[in-house]
Amino acid sequence: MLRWPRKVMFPLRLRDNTTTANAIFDKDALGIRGIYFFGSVLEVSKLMPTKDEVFEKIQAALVDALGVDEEDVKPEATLVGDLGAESIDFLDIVFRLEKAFDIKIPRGELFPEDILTDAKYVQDGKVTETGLAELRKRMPFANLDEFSKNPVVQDFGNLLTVADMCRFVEGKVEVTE
Amino acid sequence: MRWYWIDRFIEFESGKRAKAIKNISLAEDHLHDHFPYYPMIPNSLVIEGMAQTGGLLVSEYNQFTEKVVLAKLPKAVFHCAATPGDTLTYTTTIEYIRAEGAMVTATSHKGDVLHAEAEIVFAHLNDSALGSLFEPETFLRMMRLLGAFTVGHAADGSPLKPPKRLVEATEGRNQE
Repeated sequence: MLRWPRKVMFPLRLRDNTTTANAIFDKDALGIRGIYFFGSVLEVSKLMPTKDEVFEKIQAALVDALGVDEEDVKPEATLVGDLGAESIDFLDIVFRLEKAFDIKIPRGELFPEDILTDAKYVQDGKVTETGLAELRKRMPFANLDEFSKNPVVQDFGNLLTVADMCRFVEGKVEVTE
Repeated sequence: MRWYWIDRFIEFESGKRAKAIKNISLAEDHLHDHFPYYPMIPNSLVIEGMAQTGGLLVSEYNQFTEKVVLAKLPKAVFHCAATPGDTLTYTTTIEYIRAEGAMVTATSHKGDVLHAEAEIVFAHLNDSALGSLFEPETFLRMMRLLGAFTVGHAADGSPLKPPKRLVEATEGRNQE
């Protein structure tokens, strides 16, 4: 059987009816993802996922990991509050995202639990200003505005939304519009 | 208390896959009470058997240094009932192992018939209070009793051997 390398992009790029060819092979998607040849598209398939495709894959991962209905996985839904995720679910979710997008997610990247247990960043059960700054740096994909108003550590778990997860993944894979 | 829900390993590929069989017998007391007059193995015990098959596989990968506990069943589907006289073959495959835990996919077959499918997530606990639940002797005995070292292979294809750590810990204890 022919075995393609993971991704091969022929050097001659063809876009917008120019006269060069561009073929993209990807073994995960039936071998060939797209061949553009002499101005005509022989087989259409985008190499980079669109934002909708990212959302759909995340939706599928959450349906499998949390046993929720597809229609409940809306962008604004929070993972813990609305979808009922528990701490062990994050391990499961991270694994499914790694598999679905062929990415690596090191521990603490999606959910920087180390900051919340670090005495340097937490005082009287609340995240300090330096802690918040550190969280913003580590979690550019999350909206921390609401949490910052009253940064009680216990509420942190309910911060992440499905939309945050989409932004997190979009930061790791190239996305087309 | 004995809590063995598999009878024997028939394959044990370190870090990859393990297969075990479970023979169902009318001599098992609980079969008479689960559904009176319809003896079938309770599905929960099939899950336990698959978890034992996969759990020992995951534990062996880390030389039994991690406290591996069943944390979550994202999926469990049963396609038919298994009754006395049936031999179930549980096949578990490691999907991933990370510092925090692992996941295996598992199937149960009656001959060629697919009986059940599951995904099992294990967590690695770092609670020292649980030490006594995870005695080296227990694992060594279990692995030997189930024939893991008879049929097993290490990652490099050589015959599977008891981890040095377990043997030394067990011997050290016996000498005390």
